[in-house]
Amino acid sequence: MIQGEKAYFNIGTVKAILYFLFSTLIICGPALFNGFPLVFSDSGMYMASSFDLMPRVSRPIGYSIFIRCFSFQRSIWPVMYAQCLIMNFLIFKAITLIVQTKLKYFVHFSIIILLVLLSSLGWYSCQIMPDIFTSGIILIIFIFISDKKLNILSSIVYLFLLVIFIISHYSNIPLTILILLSLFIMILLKPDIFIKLKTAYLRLLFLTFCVGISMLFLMSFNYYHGKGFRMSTTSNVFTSARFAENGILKKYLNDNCGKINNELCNYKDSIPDNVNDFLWSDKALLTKMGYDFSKWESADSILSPIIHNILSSPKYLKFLFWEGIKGTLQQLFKNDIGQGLVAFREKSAPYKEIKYKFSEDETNEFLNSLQNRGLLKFNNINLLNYVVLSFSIMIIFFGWYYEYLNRYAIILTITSMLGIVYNAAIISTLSNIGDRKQARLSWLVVLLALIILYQVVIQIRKVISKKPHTFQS
Amino acid sequence: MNKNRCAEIIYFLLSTFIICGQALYNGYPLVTNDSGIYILSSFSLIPPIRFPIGYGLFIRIFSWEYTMWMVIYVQALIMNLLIYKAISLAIPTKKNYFIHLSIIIFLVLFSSLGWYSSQLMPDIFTPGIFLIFFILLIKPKLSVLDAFVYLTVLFFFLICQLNNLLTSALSILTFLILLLFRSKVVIDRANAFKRLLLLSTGLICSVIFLMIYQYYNGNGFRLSLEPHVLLAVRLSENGLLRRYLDENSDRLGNQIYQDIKLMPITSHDFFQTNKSHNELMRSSIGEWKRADSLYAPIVYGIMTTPRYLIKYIWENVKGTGIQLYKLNVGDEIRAFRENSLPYLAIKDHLDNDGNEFLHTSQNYGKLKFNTIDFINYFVIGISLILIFWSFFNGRISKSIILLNVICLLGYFYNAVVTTSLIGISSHLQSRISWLLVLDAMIIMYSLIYQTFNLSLLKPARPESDI
Repeated sequence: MIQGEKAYFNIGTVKAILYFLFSTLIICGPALFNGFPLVFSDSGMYMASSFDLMPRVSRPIGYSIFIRCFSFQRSIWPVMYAQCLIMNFLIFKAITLIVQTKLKYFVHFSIIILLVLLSSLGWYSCQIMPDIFTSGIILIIFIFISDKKLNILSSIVYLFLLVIFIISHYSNIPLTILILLSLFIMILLKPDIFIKLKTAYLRLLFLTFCVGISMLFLMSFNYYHGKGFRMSTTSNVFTSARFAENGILKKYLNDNCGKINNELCNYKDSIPDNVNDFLWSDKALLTKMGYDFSKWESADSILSPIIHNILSSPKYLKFLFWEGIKGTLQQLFKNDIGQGLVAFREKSAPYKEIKYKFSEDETNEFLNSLQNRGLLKFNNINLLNYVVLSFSIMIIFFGWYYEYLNRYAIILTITSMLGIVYNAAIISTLSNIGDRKQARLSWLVVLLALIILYQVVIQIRKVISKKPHTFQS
Repeated sequence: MNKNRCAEIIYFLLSTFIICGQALYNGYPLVTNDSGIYILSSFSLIPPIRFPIGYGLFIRIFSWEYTMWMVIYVQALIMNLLIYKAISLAIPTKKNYFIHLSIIIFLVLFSSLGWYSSQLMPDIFTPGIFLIFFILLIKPKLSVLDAFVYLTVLFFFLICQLNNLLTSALSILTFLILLLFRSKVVIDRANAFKRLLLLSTGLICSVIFLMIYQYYNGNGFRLSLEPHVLLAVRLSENGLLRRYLDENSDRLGNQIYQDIKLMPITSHDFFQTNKSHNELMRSSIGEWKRADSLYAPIVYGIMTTPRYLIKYIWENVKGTGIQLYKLNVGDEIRAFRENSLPYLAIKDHLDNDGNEFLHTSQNYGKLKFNTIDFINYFVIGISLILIFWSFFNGRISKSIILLNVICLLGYFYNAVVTTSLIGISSHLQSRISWLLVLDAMIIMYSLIYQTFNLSLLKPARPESDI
């Protein structure tokens, strides 16, 4: 028999730190594979505002502050590494809360490898975009309300991270509010899931407080820079674009242009049927109206009364509700991973920011990356991703049906599912339907499935050995 | 020769065809652009530019100046034997042949092994070095003949690529430190020191041989003809060369500054495309010598200035991380037609092979690697999980733990060395990635045998030795 007396790899504190530092490199895999952190067209804007720290049209300041903190205004690599490290730690924490085993490092290690290979995790955590933080919010909410051994220091860290995540993207604010609201209702309806009701209420209150702080911060930040005491300066522009896409805007203008005096009425016969032609393309409606990108704040004030009227009129609200349901369902199935990860060459915003603001030395690296040579192909990855997502949903259902989910797994399942559905609803109602904003969360489903699989393995071993489930005999 | 011995020989001769599978499927050994250089040097026996003579000698010995098929068959046979030996030392069971056969089939189908052993390139020898390390460190008894054979094979592997020398030196050093501070890694510490000494001897012999060979050919008593050019390419790729030139243009000659500033930004462009700034220099040794002396003060300046050195180290840390993930199997395997260097080399010297060469899947551009790469990444991911798990599993033998350490070290050092000296390339990393899959397969079989209580012949080492 091949035998050894003991395991060779006992992890202490220093080793644990080293473990996290190195295992994070697995989550960084897609960036390392690519040869540079992945960039999206908006990455340039975030990078630019990390230098001047001025509020940008349609983007909150949070992610730019994050870039400022971790880039040292020199390189974009540490930013990507830091967000991977944070996600790595949150995943580890979530796993250890649910899977009670001595082999927590092995379980975590295998799960992150599988997540990077089979899901969207790596592709989002390696992007210079705040999208990965949306799933971070869900994990923080879960950890914060489930961890019995939460001390003051770790509470502060979690809440601080939550604030940073929330102020990184506008959609994170309603998402967090809706999740917290649902959890409040769940405590009322099904209190037995939570161990201590009082603690659960208290922690939810802390989380709610963080949302308030985040909103206040964004409003104060805009106020400080002369943009008024409001969160977003262009929210009505994006909502109008979405309403143009689903036809409400045209319907409203046809019904009301005789009664109201709005500049948009002059263009009511040329309202485009998609967001791109409303906002972004060369012949976008807003550009035709004289409001190019730099003047969107003015456009916002023009569009504001229209949006207000639509949202306060039951006639349109009904239509909006129906479009919202349709859009949410469509959005739930939009999970292609590589959306927007196209080649950005010398004239693109991300390139210019890296060349002129960060480090010119990194421009070779940027241009030589697979993404920017157009060599990143997502066909196989997307096919695999959809198959894995389908199996994951089956596994989650199986785990739920046969009661393999412990209390913590149930809370994570509920929080994740709420997050995914609310994210789809918010994005499809207020922004445009697209894969990028849904696939950023889809890896949570795979994470849940893998955790449940480990739960099942542990239960089976428990039944076979009739001993406590420690993985080791 | 007894019947069993005969059967064994037949088994190895036939099973090697599995490892040659990709070449057989392709219709001819796979080639890269550099294969042409190696083939030419095997005929002239003059050390080629950028490469040592080792692989040229290997081709000369086994091609019989007649066909390249024998070259890849012999390299596949050597790898086959090394894999078998590693398996039988890690899993001592009567079923070694079954385990070996299933593992090589799996490796050929799902890893980079077959694609590299079927290539007319010395890249397959890099993982071979680490298998020899493992065998020598774990083998309880080593006869003089065994030692001689392993050292000879190691010697050939080392003189085939310069980066193998550095990777081996780093590995020997690491094992030395490991033995000093964590003796539990090996079973017999004193024996391990002796074996490390043996390996170091092999390394020193290789270095001396290469230097003498260069000296004999009038290139001076040195390892490489153009170390500064090679390093300059890497410095150019990571932007450091340009930065240095911009900041020190007043101290350097204006013409040098202008010339070097035109350098391509990737090593691929530098060496292999028509864009190459050093196109002229590729043609004659004299030009390379001139180029090397041109770059020498610049490289020296960068390496001795702390500001640039820190940047160089940072770039290499990043580069190593990137290199660890560069695992595309088919990198540099593209179609080579009538005007290509490999074709011209084969046509001029091996008349029989010329037609065969042109009518291969590779040279018709029919080899596609998307799905293969996809599977390869997936298999390596799963392999890493198994390897990581084996560290936690108390029942895994010390020999497998040592194999884990050697494979991981080899994988990591290969990335460090190639990134620092040559550049980031899938070709240089995926050549060694199959070692991880082999390691994982061995772990899996070991676990299967334990779980189902299948008979193992004996422990890797008696527990009393441990």
